[in-house]
Amino acid sequence: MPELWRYRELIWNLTVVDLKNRYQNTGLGFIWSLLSPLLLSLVFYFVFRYLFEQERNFPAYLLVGLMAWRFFANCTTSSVYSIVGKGSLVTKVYIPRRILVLSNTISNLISSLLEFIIIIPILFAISGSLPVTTLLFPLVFLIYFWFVYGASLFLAALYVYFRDLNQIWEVLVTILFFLSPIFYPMSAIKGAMPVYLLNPITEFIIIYRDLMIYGKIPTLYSLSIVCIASIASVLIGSLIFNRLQRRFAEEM
Amino acid sequence: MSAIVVKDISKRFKIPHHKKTTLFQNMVGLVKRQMTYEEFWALKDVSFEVKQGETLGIIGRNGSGKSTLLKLLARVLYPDSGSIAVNGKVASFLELGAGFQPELTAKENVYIYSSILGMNRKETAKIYDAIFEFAELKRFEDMKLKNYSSGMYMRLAFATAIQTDPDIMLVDEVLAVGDEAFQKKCILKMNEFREQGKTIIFVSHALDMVRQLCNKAMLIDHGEIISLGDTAKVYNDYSLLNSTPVSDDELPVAIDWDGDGRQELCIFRKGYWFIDINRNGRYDPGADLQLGPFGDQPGDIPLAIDWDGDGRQELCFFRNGYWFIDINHDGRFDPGIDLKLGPFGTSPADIPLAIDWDGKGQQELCIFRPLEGRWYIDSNHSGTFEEGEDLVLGPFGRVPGDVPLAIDWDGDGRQELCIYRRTAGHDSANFYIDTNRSGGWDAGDRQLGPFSYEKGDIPAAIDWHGNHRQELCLFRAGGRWHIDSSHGGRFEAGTGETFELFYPAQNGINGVVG
Repeated sequence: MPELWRYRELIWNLTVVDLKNRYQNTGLGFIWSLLSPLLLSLVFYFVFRYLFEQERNFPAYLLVGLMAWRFFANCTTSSVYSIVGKGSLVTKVYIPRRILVLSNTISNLISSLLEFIIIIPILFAISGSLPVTTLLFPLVFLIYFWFVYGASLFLAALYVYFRDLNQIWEVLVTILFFLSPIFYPMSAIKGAMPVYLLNPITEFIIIYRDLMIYGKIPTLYSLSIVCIASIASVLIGSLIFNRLQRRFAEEM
Repeated sequence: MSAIVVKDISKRFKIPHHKKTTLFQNMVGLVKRQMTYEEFWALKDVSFEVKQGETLGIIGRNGSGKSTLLKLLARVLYPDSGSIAVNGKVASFLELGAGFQPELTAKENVYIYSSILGMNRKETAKIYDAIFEFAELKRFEDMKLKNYSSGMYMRLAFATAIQTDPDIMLVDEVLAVGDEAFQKKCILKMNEFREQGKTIIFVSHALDMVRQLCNKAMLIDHGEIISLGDTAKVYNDYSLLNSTPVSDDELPVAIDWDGDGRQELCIFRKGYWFIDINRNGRYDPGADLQLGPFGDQPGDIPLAIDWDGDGRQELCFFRNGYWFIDINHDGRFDPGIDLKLGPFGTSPADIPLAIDWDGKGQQELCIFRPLEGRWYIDSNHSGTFEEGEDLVLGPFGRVPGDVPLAIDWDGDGRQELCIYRRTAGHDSANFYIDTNRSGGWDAGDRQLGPFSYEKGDIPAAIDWHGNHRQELCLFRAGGRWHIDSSHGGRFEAGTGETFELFYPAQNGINGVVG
């Protein structure tokens, strides 16, 4: 940790470079990147609105779920490349290598935070009002961030050794998308509930919706689940990353 | 105080027989049990210590492990065993400009690059002006890096790295970039560094630079430290490493034994001399000569020398600085009758030659000292070297691996200095002849070649035709002699201008003209 603090400048610089590259140095770039989730929500809405009409405020439900999901999906799929794609920073100079994953996770977090801020007025427009608890959503990100960071460490390190991991991960992300309550209500899968809740992303999505749509403070139970999941993710991710990073330079 | 302490480090690389980098291939390999790989120890139990303020040069041949060692010190690679303790802030120059972003301006890149080297924004702001001043790029600070030339790019990177004020610098050949003026500036800066008591570790093929910069050197070969200490001593050891003959049991000698003005082929093997006296290009037992034993200890170097100037060359062998000459021409060493000259050339790297520099008909002793590139000629014919009376020529031939020859290329009766040197990639070689007899390499001299290079090639000069000029000759593995008999300074197989004489290596010397 003190080492990471010493390199804070680099972490920030890499994050900024990442954001600049992602939005190609234009303000419009960010708007374009928002277009796809909004369109997707719209499609889901028109396809599923009759099927799931029992879900009150279905558009808001879709939007929040999709945005929360996007942080995990976008960040992990880009983190796969965060070591291999950085070439000379790994093979030619010493820096704590987890910085490369960390800065990628931070830049994705910033994008995601901005997306959430953009959808707040949209949510207001759809529902006509907003619960006060909406203001608490950044706190969830504090926990969610570590969960995603841990997964990213794991993927980035493994990809150095197994170069088809990116394909495999894309398939897994698609499967996880359907295993999470994004475009269907929780009530639809009542039967398999205990197994279903093993997916920590489900719990995160539930918390976001509670805060931003239903005005509910998350229960201690779901908070402890996401905290444990995040801690486990960071621990396992770091452990594997530290073991594998010793041979990064030679494998690349 | 120690800046770096390295204890028993070993580094192993795994070289898989089948390159598997996908999960799928690995699983297939597991099922088929094909997880085989070769191990390659790039470093084996290496220990050393670098004191603060020392400048250590690491030298070694390609693949010796020197770059691996530097990468371990830079913490880019991790050792498989052993430990490395580094005391102070390290700047590694394994590659200049690692992490540069071409789409951003030079200014932005300086901030990014210095943060890679562990600086924060405030610290960078303080040295910002000094960076651009050193790089001489102030006018271009707002230009995007993609528009920089490669020279500007390197200058910016070096300037940034050097201004971050590291305690220890790890440098890997990067100074080879940039124009000469900037290179000089870099060296000045590094000297300044040294005077400030900072530590520099420098890996290079550019031996001149190592000598200029370093007060200590380390020679690595096959992953082990061969020698460590005073730069001059390590130098000597390095040249030994390069001059070790490839085939030590069979050496070619061109000798005019019978004094008919033509030099014959001769093979020296374990003290015996086989001379193709009937000049048919092969050894015929009975018809050809077998002389010896004369020089039968390992390490003895055979020479042909016309010491007395009677037109015949005598056998001569060189052993630890002493020259033994078969002056009564009977092919044996007769104590009391035959000559023992010297000491002359007692340093282990010294290479002995016979040369008729002045053209008086007698050949003199000559010692070539590798890397120094000096030729010491016993021009007063006393049998030893006398400072002031005898001749020193050079520098000529300072590249490691240079082989010295004496050749009378132009046929004026005097032999010139000649250097046989492999090209950097080692697939060809050239002869460099000091035809204007200045004792060094300059505009009036001749470069002949390129000749293809095969492992084990030994160059020689031979007057095969007896027309008083010596031709270039290469003795190759398998006992082939390639002679540039047309005196064109080149030979290529099949042009008809060259011919090949054949001596098989096994079962005595026998063969056919190629």
